[in-house]
Amino acid sequence: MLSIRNLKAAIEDKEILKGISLEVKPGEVHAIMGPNGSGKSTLAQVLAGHPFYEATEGDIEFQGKDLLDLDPNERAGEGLFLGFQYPVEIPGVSNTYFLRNALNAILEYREEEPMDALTFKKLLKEKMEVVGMKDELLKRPVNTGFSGGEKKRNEIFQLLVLNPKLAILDETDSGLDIDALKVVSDGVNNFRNEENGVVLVTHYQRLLNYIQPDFVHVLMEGKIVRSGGKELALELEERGYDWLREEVN
Amino acid sequence: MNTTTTFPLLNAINELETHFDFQAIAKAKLQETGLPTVRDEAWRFTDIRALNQLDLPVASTDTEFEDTDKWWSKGIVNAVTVPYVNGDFDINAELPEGVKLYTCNTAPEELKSQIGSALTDDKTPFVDLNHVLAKKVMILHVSKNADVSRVIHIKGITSADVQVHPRILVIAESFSRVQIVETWQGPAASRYFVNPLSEFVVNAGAIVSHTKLQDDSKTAFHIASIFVKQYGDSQYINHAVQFGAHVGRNDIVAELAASNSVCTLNGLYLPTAKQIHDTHSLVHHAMPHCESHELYKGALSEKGQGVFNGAIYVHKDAQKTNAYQTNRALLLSDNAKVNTKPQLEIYADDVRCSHGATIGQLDKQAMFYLQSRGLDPEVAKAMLTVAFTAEAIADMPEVELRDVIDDMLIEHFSN
Repeated sequence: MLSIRNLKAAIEDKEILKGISLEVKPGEVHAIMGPNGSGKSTLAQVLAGHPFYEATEGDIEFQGKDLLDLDPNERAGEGLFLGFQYPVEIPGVSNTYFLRNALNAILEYREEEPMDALTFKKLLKEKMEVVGMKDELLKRPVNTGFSGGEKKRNEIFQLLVLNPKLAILDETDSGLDIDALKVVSDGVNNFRNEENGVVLVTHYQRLLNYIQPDFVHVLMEGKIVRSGGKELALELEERGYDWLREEVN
Repeated sequence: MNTTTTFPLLNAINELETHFDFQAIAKAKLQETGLPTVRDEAWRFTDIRALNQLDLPVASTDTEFEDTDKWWSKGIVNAVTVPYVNGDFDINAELPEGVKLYTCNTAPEELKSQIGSALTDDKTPFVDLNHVLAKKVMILHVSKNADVSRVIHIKGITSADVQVHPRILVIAESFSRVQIVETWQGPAASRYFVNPLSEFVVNAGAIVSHTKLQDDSKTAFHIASIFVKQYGDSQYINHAVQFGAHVGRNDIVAELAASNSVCTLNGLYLPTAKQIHDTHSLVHHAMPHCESHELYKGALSEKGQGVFNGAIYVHKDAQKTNAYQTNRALLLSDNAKVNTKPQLEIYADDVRCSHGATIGQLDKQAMFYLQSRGLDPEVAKAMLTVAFTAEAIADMPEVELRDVIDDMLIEHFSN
């Protein structure tokens, strides 16, 4: 569903991604690991279409379409979802209002009927139970005054409600205690099925104890330097990144 | 100065016979000094040349009136409406218990004598113009201890091609509670001038909410003067929302004349196209232990211009004053402009005063966040802008009206 071919991307003329290729098929979970500053988050942002980044070379095909041709909202319409490392606080817009508008915008993009209020309410209730979210958080403005854990939980909640084809989760595990990590992982596992895909961008291996990846890729200095199965993550956990850096050079 | 050639708007006063001394004084003053221009400090950023040039007749009972009620009018439920059409109103309008409606001819002497009692020396020439040209003074009297259950909606409507000088006096007696909503409208795309002058006398322990919604024609002029006089332990809460008029201006002067009174002034200004929205607020802290809170927010698009001048004057007896003021503006286009000026004069030594002003643009991260969830950039922009404005009307006591204004905001920013 996602093919990235030789992607290069820059921010303010500084090249961060230096030729990345990656293939994600339905039903697969890919983990992108790597040290700080390797370009992991940049990859996630470029996929979602952040205006600060410019793709300078290569192409990305998503669901048969040229992703780089689409605006961020069109990408969401096509079924792409980015779970933010730092979810943005939106004071004055309630979580429910925001989600309902987002969901209906996506349905409208797909030329489907908007969801009626009752069905939407049921959907929210069902997904809230999965992530153990309190009613009260729905009425509160998006992420405003949420703790770090609540924000990440809210991202997963949005993921479940919007039910995209491909979820890119950028450091969703950072800043979480073990209980919150478990909740977030349960949410992602609940989302997974034969037809959708997940790209986990993570610094630590611990998330992968809860969400089993099919593939692990190591990103360093803007390039994927190694790909393997989930055992690669364990090796990184044990040995760090330095040995790999030496091997690559 | 030959005011007639410089200010054709003043043609209306020349032939007019005055009946009272204050009118004669006002007329003479206008004929001598004319109307404000950008050379006057208080009008530096608010160019009203186009208004000064208008030679408009004063509306009379003969003025043609077309009822083109705006959609939002119907949303103001649970209110008793008193139409104030072209400066005239029905003296027999029905009002809730505890409130009586008078005009000069019918008011008891002790009420009539209070006309002008809340005015201070901080008058613009438009107050004088109102003195000369007001047709029928609306006096709303709220009796002592009355807790008025329904909102009183003064519904101002102006016809095209006239000038109107509505005059309102609200007297809230001790320990009464009342909610007054003022709305202003006129035929779309028509030209007219409305110059309301209102006074609020808020007696000891009384609580008055005063919400003003200005949705005049975008080619009209709306220059309003509001004077508030507060006595001990009273509360006055003002929310002023400006949508319409080519030039819309509110001059609000509140005098905290006795201890422990609290004054809240909040507002929204939303100029677009070539509109100018101006707020001049002045709070006189005359006595100790009073509070004033001000929060104004502006969202300006296209070539919209905003002016905010917030003055706080703490007199020497006003120890333990607590006054704060904030003006936040959001510029939605490169051509929008806002001029903001706090002005604090403090003559007491034990006070807490603060002011803040920010001018910013939409948060790009927030825009991306909303877009990444599927929202069209225009929708995302409208959502963030409405959210930005929400704070300024969040405490509006008339909840139904606030919902109406929310809908108006969504409509305004979705275009």
